[in-house]
Amino acid sequence: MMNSESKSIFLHDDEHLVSHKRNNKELENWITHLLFIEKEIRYLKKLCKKNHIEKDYYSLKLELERKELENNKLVSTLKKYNNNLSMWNECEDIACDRLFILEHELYRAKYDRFTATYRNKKELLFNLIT
Amino acid sequence: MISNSILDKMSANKVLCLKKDLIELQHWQNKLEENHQELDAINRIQKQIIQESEIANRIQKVRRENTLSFASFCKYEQELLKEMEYAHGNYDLTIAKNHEKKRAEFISVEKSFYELKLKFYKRLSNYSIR
Repeated sequence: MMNSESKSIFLHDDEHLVSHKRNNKELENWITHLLFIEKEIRYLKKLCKKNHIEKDYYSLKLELERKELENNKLVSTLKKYNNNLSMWNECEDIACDRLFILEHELYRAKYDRFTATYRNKKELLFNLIT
Repeated sequence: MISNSILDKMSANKVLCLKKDLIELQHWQNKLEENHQELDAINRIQKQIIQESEIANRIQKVRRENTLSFASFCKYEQELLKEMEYAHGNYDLTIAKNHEKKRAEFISVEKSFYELKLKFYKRLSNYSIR
């Protein structure tokens, strides 16, 4: 993993290094968001629990529990990816850089897919409340 | 004199970096749009259930920050597209630093949004929502 000093962008950094540092920062931001979602789900579940006699709230609570598990799994996957990012330093040409960028995009897709379905559950709950 | 192949390689690197910036920017813009929709839902619940001016003011403040950042990102998107159009030479540090400024802006707006939501959920958990 990179420390905060090594993540800063310096004048002597080449495009490859800038790109690598960027991916690292972006990844950290995804993880921060997912860790926030972890907290948020706890509140949303509590709101459902207050009304668990109603069928809609009960099934939403179950779905949120499933999302909680998916979230934990995704955080672990992204942390593992973060630990392996340093391998990118071995790249010596643009073709290799492209491969790593493509891999990064695959992780972005996973993150986007999860957050989209999670948002959908949250919207359902907000609509039930109002 | 710099040969054509070196110039081509420099441009290819620059295009790749700019494309990456645009992908990330698009992600920030989407996230701000989603935040905006969520702020609408939170505001609705606030008006119907919580009815506290402190929360209402905080929602307004975050919504304003969100809108201003969205406008600044749209302007930045135009700058990046223009840079792509005339992509020759190196991806210089001015572009990289500017992107990092935008990232800091995005993280700051996200932080305000997360803080607001935690406060909102804490308040909401005091009320019966049935």
